[in-house]
Amino acid sequence: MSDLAANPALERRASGRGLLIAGAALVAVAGALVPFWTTGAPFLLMLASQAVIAAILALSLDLLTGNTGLLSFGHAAWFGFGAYVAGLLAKLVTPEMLIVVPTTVIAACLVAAVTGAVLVRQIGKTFAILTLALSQIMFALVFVASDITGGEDGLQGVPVMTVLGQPVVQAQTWYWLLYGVLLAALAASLHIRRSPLGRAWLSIRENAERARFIGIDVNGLKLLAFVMSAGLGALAGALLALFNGAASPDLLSWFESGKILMFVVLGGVGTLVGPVLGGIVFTFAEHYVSSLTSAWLIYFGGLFILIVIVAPGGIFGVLGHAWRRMQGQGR
Amino acid sequence: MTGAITFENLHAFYGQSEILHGVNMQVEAGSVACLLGLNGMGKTTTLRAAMGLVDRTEGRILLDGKELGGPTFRRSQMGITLVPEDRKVFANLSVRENLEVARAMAPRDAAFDIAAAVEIFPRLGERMEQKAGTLSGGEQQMLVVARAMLVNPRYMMLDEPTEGLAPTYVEAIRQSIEVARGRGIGIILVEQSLPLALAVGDHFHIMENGQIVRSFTRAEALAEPAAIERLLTVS
Repeated sequence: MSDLAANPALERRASGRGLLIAGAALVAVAGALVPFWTTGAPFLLMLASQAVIAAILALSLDLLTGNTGLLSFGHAAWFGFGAYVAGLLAKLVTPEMLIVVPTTVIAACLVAAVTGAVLVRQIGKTFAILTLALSQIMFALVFVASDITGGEDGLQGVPVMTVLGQPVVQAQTWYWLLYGVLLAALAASLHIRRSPLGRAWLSIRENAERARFIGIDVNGLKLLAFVMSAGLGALAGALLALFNGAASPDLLSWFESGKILMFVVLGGVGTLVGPVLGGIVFTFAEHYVSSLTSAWLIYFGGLFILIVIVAPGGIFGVLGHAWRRMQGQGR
Repeated sequence: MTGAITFENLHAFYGQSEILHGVNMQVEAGSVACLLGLNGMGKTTTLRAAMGLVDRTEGRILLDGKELGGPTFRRSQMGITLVPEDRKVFANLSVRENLEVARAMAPRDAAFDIAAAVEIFPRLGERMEQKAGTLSGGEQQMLVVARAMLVNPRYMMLDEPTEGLAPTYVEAIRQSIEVARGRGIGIILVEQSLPLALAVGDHFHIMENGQIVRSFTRAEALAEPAAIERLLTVS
C-alpha cells in the first residue's frame, strides 16, 4: 500500500481500475433489471433474450478468433448443431435442461475435437474456407436427414424446457436464465484470458513460431480453443432452440456465420467484452433498422466496412479510447 | 548438472538441396560456443535444424545424451531454445505478458524468474506495462533474450543477437550471455562481430559450405585472432 501512495501514476491507475469495475458492475446489474423495465412490452423482453443469446454466440467465436487469431467463416455450424441436437433431445428424450444442454455441449465438443484435429493444422485462408465447408456440410445434413430434422420447415414442436422438472414458461425467468449463462461464460472467459493458458493463446495469435520456440504446443492449444469455442457456440444454439421451441436450417447458413463474425468485428475482436456488446447492439439494430427499410443489409454492409477502416477496435476500442482520454484529462 | 549438446554428422536439407554436409560439434553446459563464418555457410541452418525447422535431416543431435527430435515445441520442452535474428516480440502483449508467458513454460521451481530477468535488463523493468511492439529495436532484442532465458532452457542458441544494435545494448546482451553461462546454460552464438565473440566465447567453430572446417579454443583464439579473422574474410 505504501508503494501505491508513493506513486501517483499507480494510484491513478488503481482508482481508474476501481471505477471501471464499479462501472462494469453497474452495467451488469442494469442488464439483470431488464425484465422490470420491459413490463407490458413482452416483445422487447423477447428481443432482449435473443440479444443475450447472440452475445453468448459472439463470445464463443471470440474465444477462437480473438484468442488464437484463427478466423472462422463457418461458426454457425456449432450454433445450428447445438440447436438441432438440443431440439431433438428435448423432443425425443427429455426436455430437462440439465440433461439436454450438457449433452449437447459435450456432443459438439466431441465433433469439434475430431474435425478440429484436422482443421487447426491449417492456417489463415485455408482454415477459414474449411470452416465454411464444414458448416455447409452440416447445413446439407439437415436436408439429407429431413425426416428427423424437418428439412426446410425446420425442427418444430420442441417441448417447453424444464429445470429440475419445473417447466420454464415465464419470459422473465427465461431472460434471467440466459443472462446468467452469459455472465458466467464471460466471467470464465475473462478469467482464462488472465491465466497462463490465456497468455499462451495470445502468444500464438501474435506469432505461432515464436510460441513454439518457448515450448508452447501451438496446435494442441489451437484445438483446445476450437473445441471450447464450438462448445459455447452449441450452448447458445441449444438455448435458442429451447427458447424458441424450434430450430431452422437458417441457423447453419453461411449468412448466419457472417453475422456472428460481424458481432465480433463490431464489438472488437479479441476483447471478449466487445463481441458481447456487438451481439447485443447488432440484434437490436437489425430488428429496428430492418423494420424501417428492406435494404437494411446494405446499410449494415456499409457500417461493417466503416468499422474495419475507421475503428478496427470496434465498439470496445472506441469506448476504451474515450475512457483513456477521460483519464488523461482527469490528471 | 553437467551435460552437453552434441551434433553428430548432421546433414540438413531444404527440399532437394543439401545445406549442411555433416556438422560435428559439442557444446558443454555452461559454455559458449561461437559459430563463425561468411554468409550462406550454414550457421543459421544449423540452429534451425536443431529446432526441427528444416525439411529433413540426417545424422543426429544429442541433448544431454537424449536424441533431440519431434516437433519444435517438444524440442523446446526438452531444453533447447532459439532466439532468431529477426527479434520478433509478441507485439500486442505488454512486456510483462511477454515475460510471463515464457516463465509459465518453465518448471514452477525453475531458478530464473522475471525478477532475475529485470536484474539483467533493468530497462525492461521500466517498460513492464508497455506494449512490446512499441519498444525500440534494442529493447525488443533484450526482451526476446529475456523471454528465451525465462523458459529456463539447458541450451540457448542466439542468431546474431547484436546485429545493428547500439553499443549499450550490445553490452547488455554480452552481460546476459555471461549470466546465462554462469547459470549453467550451454550457448551457441552465431555472431558477425568478432570482438563480441572473442569477449564471451569458450570455443570457436568456423563454418564453410555446411561444415565446420576449423575449431579454436579460447586460448588459441586469443593467441592469434588474426587467423580467425583471415578465415572470415572473403578471399
